[in-house]
Parts: sequence; C-alpha cells; structure tokens
Amino acid sequence: MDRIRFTLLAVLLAVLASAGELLLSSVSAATSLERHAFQLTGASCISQQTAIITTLLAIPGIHAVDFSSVPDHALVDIDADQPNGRQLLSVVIQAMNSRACQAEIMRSCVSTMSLSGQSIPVSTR
Amino acid sequence: MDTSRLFRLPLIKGIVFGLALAGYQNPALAKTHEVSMTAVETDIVIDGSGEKYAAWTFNGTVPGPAVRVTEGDTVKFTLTNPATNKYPHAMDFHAAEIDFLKNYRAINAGETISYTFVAKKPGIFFYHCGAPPMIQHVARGMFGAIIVDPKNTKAWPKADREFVLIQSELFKNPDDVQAMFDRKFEHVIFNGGVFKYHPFVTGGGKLDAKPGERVRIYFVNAGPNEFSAFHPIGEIWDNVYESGNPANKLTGIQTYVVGPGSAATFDVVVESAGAYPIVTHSLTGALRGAIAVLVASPDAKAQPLMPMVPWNVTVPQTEITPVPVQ
Repeated sequence: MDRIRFTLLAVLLAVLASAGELLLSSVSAATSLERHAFQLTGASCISQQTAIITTLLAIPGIHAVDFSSVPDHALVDIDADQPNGRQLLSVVIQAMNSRACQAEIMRSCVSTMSLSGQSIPVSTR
Repeated sequence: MDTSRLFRLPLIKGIVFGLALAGYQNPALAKTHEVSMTAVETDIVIDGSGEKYAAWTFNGTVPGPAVRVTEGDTVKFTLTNPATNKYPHAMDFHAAEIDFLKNYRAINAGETISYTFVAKKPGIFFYHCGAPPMIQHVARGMFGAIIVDPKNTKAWPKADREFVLIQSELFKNPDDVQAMFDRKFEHVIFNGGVFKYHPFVTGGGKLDAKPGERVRIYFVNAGPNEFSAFHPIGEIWDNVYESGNPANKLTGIQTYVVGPGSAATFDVVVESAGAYPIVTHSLTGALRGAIAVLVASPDAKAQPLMPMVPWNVTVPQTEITPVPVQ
C-alpha cells in the first residue's frame, strides 16, 4: 500500500513539475510584455518593498517588479495583451499607496508613452 | 678625453626620464597589434522583445569589437570573408592613413585581405565595411570603433568609467537599399539595439556610474545618413574632444553635433545620484530608439566598454533594493 502511495505521489510531483515548466516557458516565449515606470515618494517605498512586490506579483498580468535598477522608481512589467491595461496601472498604484508609498506613473521627455497613455509609435509602418 | 660624451649620456637619460614623468610613452615601446576580424552574415537581437534582424557584422556582433591601441602603435589587420558568406565585404579604418584602393577593396567570399598601418593620431575613430553599396553594408551593421589612446597619458584627465556608444539608423527591410538612400529609417539606435540602455522599456538595460565619477563616452556616429545632436539630459558635457583628440578640447557643451562617419569623446562628471538620459536631440531619432540612460548610484557596478553586446534578452526578473541599515 505504501509503495502504491509513494508511486502516485511521485507521478503527481512529476506532472506538477512539468506543468510548472510549461507555464514558465509560455511566459518567456509567448507573452508580450510592456514596462511601466512609477516614480516613488516616501521612505516606506524601500522598507515596504517586499510586501509591495508580493502584493503586485499576485495580480494577474504582472510579471516582474524592479525596485533596484533606477533610484526612486519601480519598473513593472505587465502583460501587453491585458484588456484592462489602464485599470491594471491604477491597481498597481493603489497597492503601493496602501503601504504609504506614493506612486505615480512616470511621464517624462524620455517616456515612450504619451500623456494620454497611448504608446508613441516607434516605427514608420 | 671626449668630455662632451660625458655630458651627453646623462643629458639624454634626463630628457627621457623627464618625458616619462610628463606622461609621454617611450617611442621605442610602441607596440604591434595583430587584429583579425571575420565578416559574419547572421541574425542579431535588436530590441528588448528579442526580435531578430538579418545583419552583416564583424565577428558576429553589432557593433563589431572595439579595437584599442596607443598613438604610434602598429596595427596588422586581417579580414576574412568565409566561403559560406553570400556577399563581398571590406574594411575601412578611419584611424589609418593608407591607400584606399589597395587596402579597402572588397573581397569575395572565401578570400582574405591584410594590411598594416600606424595609428599616428590619437582619438576615437570609426571603422566600417566599404563594399558596395556601402550604404547597405553600414546600415546592416558592419561598423565599429577603434580607440587610439594618446601617448601622453596626461593629455587629459583620467576617466573613472568609459563607454563606447555607436549611433546608427535601423531600416526595417535590410534589402531595401532605396529606403536607405531615401532616409526612411525605422529606428535610430545605440550599439545595435532599440532602446538598448533604456531601463523604462522592457528588456532595456542602463549605463552605470557612481556620483562624482568622470564618465568618458567614446561616441561614433555610424550613420549611414543622419547627424547626431549628442546631449545629456540633466547635465552638461564637461569636455568634448572632436574626433577624441585631446588637442581638440571644448568645455561646457550642452549639445554637440557629430556627423555620419565622425566621432567625438565626451566627458561628464555627474555630481548627484539619479538618472541622466543621453540622447540624440534630433528627437525623431531619440524617441525611436536612441536614448541611453546613465544611472548614477553609489553602488554602481563595473561594466564593459560596450555593455549588452550581443544583446541576450532575458525574462524580466523581480529585483529588490537592499534596505539601508539604520
């Protein structure tokens, strides 16, 4: 009986591991991502970053959060095919604000998004 | 007794010692560099999504490898065009002063060519393929930079950090030579990638420095057609050296024009932490790919002369900033 249970457990683990790999592969190979930069204000942005990241990564459509590349900014990679992209950005801001970290979408002369949130065309197609 | 000889030897030794103190390299120590490159027709990654482009390259990368010698050194150069290639290729070094008909001629697949030159003038110089149509060979990626360091090491301040940045235009269809003549580029790029050093774009990296460091950028404009108006947003170039020659020093420059086929060396000292985008202020180029963000941070790590060449795009990772110890 123990042998049967052990075999079933091993098969179940193998199936789960394969499914996990497939999930990762599909994210890396097929998902189109876009990056949004958020300007951060408040000392708790760094001290609370682990909690903020955990909250954000639990939201469907968010793939990575980077607090370390650019000082006072969070870079968030989201699924570009999200139907409710602008709502997702609001959710991200709310998640940060709930941890006393003021966040707003960074808009500057080097943004590749226009003020209306539309991607600036980068090709002449 | 020949007393003049008694004085001559110490005098000569004194002059050599004095020149060494002043930073001049002993001419007898000029080196010979054997530089070999291979023309490689291959796909390269050109943006942060991993999109590929059918490039023509030196040694498989765009730009080709950075060559570095000292003023007065000899370069023995060999170009190999493998038999597996489809097209003829050539090499034109802007740092060389030699007969172009004999040395810069195109070679067919399966052939090699060798020539020698002395790097007589210090600076940052363009190198590129000159096979016809040259506009297409440059547009498809056959270019790079050669740094000729001044033999007088004290000719300019020592740099704490150095980068090579090469601007070029990217055309959607690598076979559409008419579009290249008509200047219908898709993107303007630094070091072969669209927004390669723009961390606010998926897959983009950055250039790192510490506050207070003298950052030296060896900048080449490969063209093939557009001029660059090189500008550091939030900063002013402390010094600009036309063609990278310390004798051509300009001070306090906001924006400096570098024509296609030309180059200059730019020094900037960033006093405070933050992000300083470096762009071509010809904005149709900047907003279509030619933005490189210099991030000044106390924990900046060392980087190679041309970071992210080739561009190995990875799945974005979650990164955490270390919390300062109270």
